[in-house]
Amino acid sequence: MSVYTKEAQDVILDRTLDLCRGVERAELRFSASAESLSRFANNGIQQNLSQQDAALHLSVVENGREGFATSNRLDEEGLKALVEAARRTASFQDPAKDLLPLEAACPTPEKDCLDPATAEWGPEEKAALLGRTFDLAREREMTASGILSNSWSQLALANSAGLRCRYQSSRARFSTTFHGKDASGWTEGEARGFAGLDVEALSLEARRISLAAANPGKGEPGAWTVVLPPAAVADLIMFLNWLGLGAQDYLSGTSPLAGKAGQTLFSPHFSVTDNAAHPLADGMPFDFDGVSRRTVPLVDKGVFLGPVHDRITARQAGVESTGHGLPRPNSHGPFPGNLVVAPGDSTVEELVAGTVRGLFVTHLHYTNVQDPNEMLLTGMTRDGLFLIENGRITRPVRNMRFTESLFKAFANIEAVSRDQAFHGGFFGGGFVLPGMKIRDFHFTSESGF
Amino acid sequence: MKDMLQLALDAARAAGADWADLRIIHTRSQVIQTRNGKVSGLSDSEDMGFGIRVLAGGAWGFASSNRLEPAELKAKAAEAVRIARASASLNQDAVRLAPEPAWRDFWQTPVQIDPFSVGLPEKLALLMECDRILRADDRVKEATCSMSFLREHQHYANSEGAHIEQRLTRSGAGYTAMAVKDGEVQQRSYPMSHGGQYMGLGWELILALDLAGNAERTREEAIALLSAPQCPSGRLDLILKPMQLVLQIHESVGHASELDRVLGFEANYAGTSFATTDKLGNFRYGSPIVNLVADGTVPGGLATQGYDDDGVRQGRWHIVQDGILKGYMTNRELAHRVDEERSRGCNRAEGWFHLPITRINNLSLMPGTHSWEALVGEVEDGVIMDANKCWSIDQQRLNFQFGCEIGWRVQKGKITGLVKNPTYQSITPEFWGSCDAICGPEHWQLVGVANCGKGQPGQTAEMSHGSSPARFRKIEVGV
Repeated sequence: MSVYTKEAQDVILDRTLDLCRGVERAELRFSASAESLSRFANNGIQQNLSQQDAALHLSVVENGREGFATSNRLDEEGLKALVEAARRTASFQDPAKDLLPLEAACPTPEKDCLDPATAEWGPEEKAALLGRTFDLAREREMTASGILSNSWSQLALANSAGLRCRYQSSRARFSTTFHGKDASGWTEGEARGFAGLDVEALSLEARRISLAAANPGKGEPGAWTVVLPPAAVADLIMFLNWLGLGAQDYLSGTSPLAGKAGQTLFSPHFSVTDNAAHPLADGMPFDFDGVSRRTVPLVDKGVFLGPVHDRITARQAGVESTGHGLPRPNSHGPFPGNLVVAPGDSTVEELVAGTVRGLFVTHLHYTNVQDPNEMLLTGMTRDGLFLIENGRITRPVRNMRFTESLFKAFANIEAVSRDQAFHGGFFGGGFVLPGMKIRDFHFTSESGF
Repeated sequence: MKDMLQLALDAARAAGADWADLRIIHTRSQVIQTRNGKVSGLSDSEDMGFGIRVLAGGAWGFASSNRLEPAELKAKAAEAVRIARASASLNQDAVRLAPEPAWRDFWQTPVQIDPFSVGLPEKLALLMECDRILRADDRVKEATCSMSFLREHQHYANSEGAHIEQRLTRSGAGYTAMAVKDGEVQQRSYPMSHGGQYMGLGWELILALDLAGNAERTREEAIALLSAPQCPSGRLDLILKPMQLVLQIHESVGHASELDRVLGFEANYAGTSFATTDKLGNFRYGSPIVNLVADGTVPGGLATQGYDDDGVRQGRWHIVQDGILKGYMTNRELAHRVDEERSRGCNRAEGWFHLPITRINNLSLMPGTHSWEALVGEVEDGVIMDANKCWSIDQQRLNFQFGCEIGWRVQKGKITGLVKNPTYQSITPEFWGSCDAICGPEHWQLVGVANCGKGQPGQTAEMSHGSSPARFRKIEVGV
């Protein structure tokens, strides 16, 4: 699981630029990653692995035509083949009419979020931690499933105009579900290093939830006030991001937020910023064009302020890029990478205490977009759904399906917690999120378990 | 290549492995995308590496790397054994592999026209022609078109003496038109949503799809949906066409019958399955006309290959027969858990990078005997839906809710017009239990799922699902 030193990265980048002499311009993106992951179920390790890869993505412009190629063969022969492949694809293209000049330098050229000890964390250390998790499950005649992993990733950009910038990071992740006879409880945690990950505490919390969720009663579809901890907010934010916060769809009119900049769309308790510099986010300080990522307020006290831009949409809109370009070429346009939802004043417990009748949702499962026009989502509750009565969690209920518009849900936010945590959605992403209390959140059917 | 394979297997043995297998894979892929008259994606990718899997002390270890060099092969073999020993320190039950002959064979996807032999100008010209037709009406604000080709050259060997070489080819293409009016967006895709139709075929697939010939209809349907009435709500009869049935089969039968899910291996992430092993052979999954057959040999299937990543030769078997749960997707590790002597060959990985896990094979709804006219004509009040747009299903694969790109209202046996935003919701066995008619084999169509995500770390796999249009009585629609 050895990381590439700067010198090793430079050897690959410099040699490739050398091989590109004679073309009008060249852009390189070096990426490397490794993950070591122990996956467990039924109180045993079912899958245990270590994997690593590195690749070079190349764009060249020759005779005004642009071509792209990718390879993970990084020896001399592989690099030569890569350059040839990019030149070959360029030769079939029409001349590019609207190429933007290359970025020659990045004001934020380096960021190191990699914890070397975490990158080298071994399978024995993970097994020792998981042994304790399995013991905690067996103590209550439960089974535990989940993952414990350590990973690192590196990115270096270079081009023929002189750009050179780098970013590297590591992550330690633990996610577990404790299964009882008729219920389950779930938690997850993620940090730059394993020192920030308390596997035993997370396991105890999953066990507590599972015990509390035992013997659930019938769930009643309808409009409910819900209290969502940060993990349950993640799916909702992921789809807001995907549907509406990039400029390409905004400008084409296919975004549900198109034309709505400046309008009050959401609750005054809802503010969202894209902030790669947030300490919990560990975000890249530049985008894939080499443009510095700005901290961009997207929603301020319920007012939608506008989308993020890359260089292409910025030119189209007559503004400056906010530094949110994805790897070129792509069909998606710019995209926020590090959303942060502003905190409120209460704890999640206080959100529960202030609720006369509602539901506490541990997290959501398999959420998806039913109607993008309305930002209408549907998904399931999972691993602990609880009735709140008179400010207290009183009993578990069976899982239900929700079908709700994000316009309505985020307009109906009554309060936001002051504690934030980093969580990803079911289909990915990673966001810094508080908990939320939302009224009139619609559940449309039940699962029977 | 044989030397590399043997070197790694020997290194694994020397490090203490009781069993080992190795996959060396070289992949070439080409992706071409256009958006609104411009090339938005054009890449030619090459990828190579190996993954070694070992059993030591009765537990698994796996290591993979892109550095295909003797020293790295030895190092990763030793690392895999170290990882396996860490697994074994906690595991109480030793892994038991179902027996499989040590095959020595070569298999390749039957291809008429090598897609990599077709020039890029021809491919770009076809996509641009589709783009032009799709945007011929300015109410279409976005047209995206794509083509994708992949060739995977695999070498597999294990410590039992197997050595299998496979050359797998996959091709795919499709497009989507998005029409906009007064802030409302409606989309239509061809041949299907989610990037188009993908099959284990060559360029002949692209020719057969007649992409340009279907673009005008696709555009007009997207525009017509803008002024179509909303899908009605209530318990109505529902007719699904193959471009929606593909996801219905995939989510409510395919994943539910993966034995690793059934046994809890996926419990923390994708979930488990209601189709537990005590139900095998006795649980009514659907009505007596429902037959769902897994088949790793069906021509053109995305999962069609000679052998899976356990080195198991592909076959055909029932998952649901006459409405009763009859089988699972299994691998060599889990087959004995349902008292089967051999694996069904469902262990597959995404490339060399990932560990093989249990995957849905090609899985199809067998055709019935109805004509299309009778299927529609026997509906008093219902909706036809096609082309999946939204999918969501619970963690036991029971409660699902789907949305489609397009629907047609049926009243008194006649199609009376388009409806937009069609959706339906049901519970898996109730839904399949309500199936009372399936069209005949002349309507049967194999449709590819090119991006099925599963596992941690996440990996994608490909498979196909065939079906003829089918009818389901009194389903909750317009949710």
